[in-house]
Amino acid sequence: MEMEYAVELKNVTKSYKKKTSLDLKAEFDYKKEKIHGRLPMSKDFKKKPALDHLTVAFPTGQVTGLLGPNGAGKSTLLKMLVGLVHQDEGTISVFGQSPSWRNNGEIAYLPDRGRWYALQTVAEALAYAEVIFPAFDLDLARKMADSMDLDPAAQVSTLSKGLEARLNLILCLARRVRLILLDEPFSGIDLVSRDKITQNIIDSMLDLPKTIIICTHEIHEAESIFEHVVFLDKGQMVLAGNAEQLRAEKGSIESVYRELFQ
Amino acid sequence: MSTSRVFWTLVRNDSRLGSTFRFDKARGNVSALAAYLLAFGIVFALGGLLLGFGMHISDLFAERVIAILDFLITPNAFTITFLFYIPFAFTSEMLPREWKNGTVGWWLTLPYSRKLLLGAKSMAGFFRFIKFLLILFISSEYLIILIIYLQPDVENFALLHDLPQRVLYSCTIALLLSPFFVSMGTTGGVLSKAQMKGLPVIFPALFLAVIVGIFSSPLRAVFSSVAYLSPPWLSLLLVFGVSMGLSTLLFFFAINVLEHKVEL
Repeated sequence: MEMEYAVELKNVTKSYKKKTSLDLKAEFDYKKEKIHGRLPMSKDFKKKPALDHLTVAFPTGQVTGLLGPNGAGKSTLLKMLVGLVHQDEGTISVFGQSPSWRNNGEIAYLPDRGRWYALQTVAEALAYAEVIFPAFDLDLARKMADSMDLDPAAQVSTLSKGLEARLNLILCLARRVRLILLDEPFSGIDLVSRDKITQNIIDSMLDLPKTIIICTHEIHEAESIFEHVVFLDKGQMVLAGNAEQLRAEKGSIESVYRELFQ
Repeated sequence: MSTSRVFWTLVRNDSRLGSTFRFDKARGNVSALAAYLLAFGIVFALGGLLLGFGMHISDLFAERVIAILDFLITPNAFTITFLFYIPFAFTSEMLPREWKNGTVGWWLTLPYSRKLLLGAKSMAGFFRFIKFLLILFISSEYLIILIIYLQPDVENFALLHDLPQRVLYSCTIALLLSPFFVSMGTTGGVLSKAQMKGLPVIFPALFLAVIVGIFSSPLRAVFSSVAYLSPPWLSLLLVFGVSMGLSTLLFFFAINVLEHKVEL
């Protein structure tokens, strides 16, 4: 049976005009070394593309792990799918349409390092989300908040990093949408919060199957929920395949990652 | 969900974003409104006591207070520029605040037109300006009533009699021109986050050019210090028309820039 794809990218290239902090640090480190006379040769620090003629597809109705080292282009790829970043070349298709805010009613996106409105309480945040996010299930959100130990009266500014991450995840998972994009949902979060988040993603898939793309560095915590994996490096795809098959061949997704990038 | 409900919900949230009053609901039970009223009451009572005491002991003090009030309220280049700058400042910081607070990823991916998102920010900025004008109006009226009540024996006491009329006139001009400065603030906010070279730098210069242009055009009659005696209604209507027309142009420019030139 031929696999259906919710998201397809063909030959996509993206270069940022501004240099990222990683680029600037590399350039600074190089110049420092050169001043000390340890590096006599000059090096070209022209901007490298964040995505370099990338062709990749994400299967419909599966949880895909989007993995790779820093600067691989994972966050850029997710931003492109919701229209936050525009490609320089190539084509992107999300359920057969080009990315734009017009299609975002079908997508829930959790931004990397994203914060929620600090002056709202948890209850206000859920009520606000019900109005501004189409297909937001308030009852489901309240149940999830209860199961994730979130106090409805607590103001967002007073929540710990882990609790705020749980709230952000609820704001995505309580939406009855076709595609969920999670950019680093486990970043800087304690073990208990990670387990709760993973459990909620599984419950959400059981409740209503949808396509989920998770971009994370915490492979060990999340690998049990991956059905498909895509490995990126320097804006190019280095490996993609069925997670079960890769586990059978290499033992774990983490082993595959180490083999590819160490 | 109806678009108008989404719009007003965004306006309400954007108004809170601009608030500098950080009332922590989790730690107290006093309502924000009561805290505001109490703060206003204390400021007004304290101001009244100080002013009353000052005027009671010195005519020179009373004379100075009346002269300052007269300068600040009568339409002149300083007060009008200040009143124009306020709506510009209120709205130009609203969009960058989404970046600063880390909420921009949520805001920019909302499945609504950029017109709706920017419109909500502009409306929130406009409401903040109206609130500011109301505070200005109430405070100056309070001071005028207080001084009239104290009856200081000073030469410029007569100036107070038409001050309320002048306050109203200054506020009306500011209100009529505010749509343009609100749009200008919104556009400035968008440009500060756009991948465009040059424009964000020349924008403050454009702001100054508009102010200079207004004061050197035939419309300057509207800002004359005696215009309040017989308001030039036709010119005021023209000012409002120009303000609305320019603000619409700027607003659509900002929408276009937000849609095509702003990336995260």
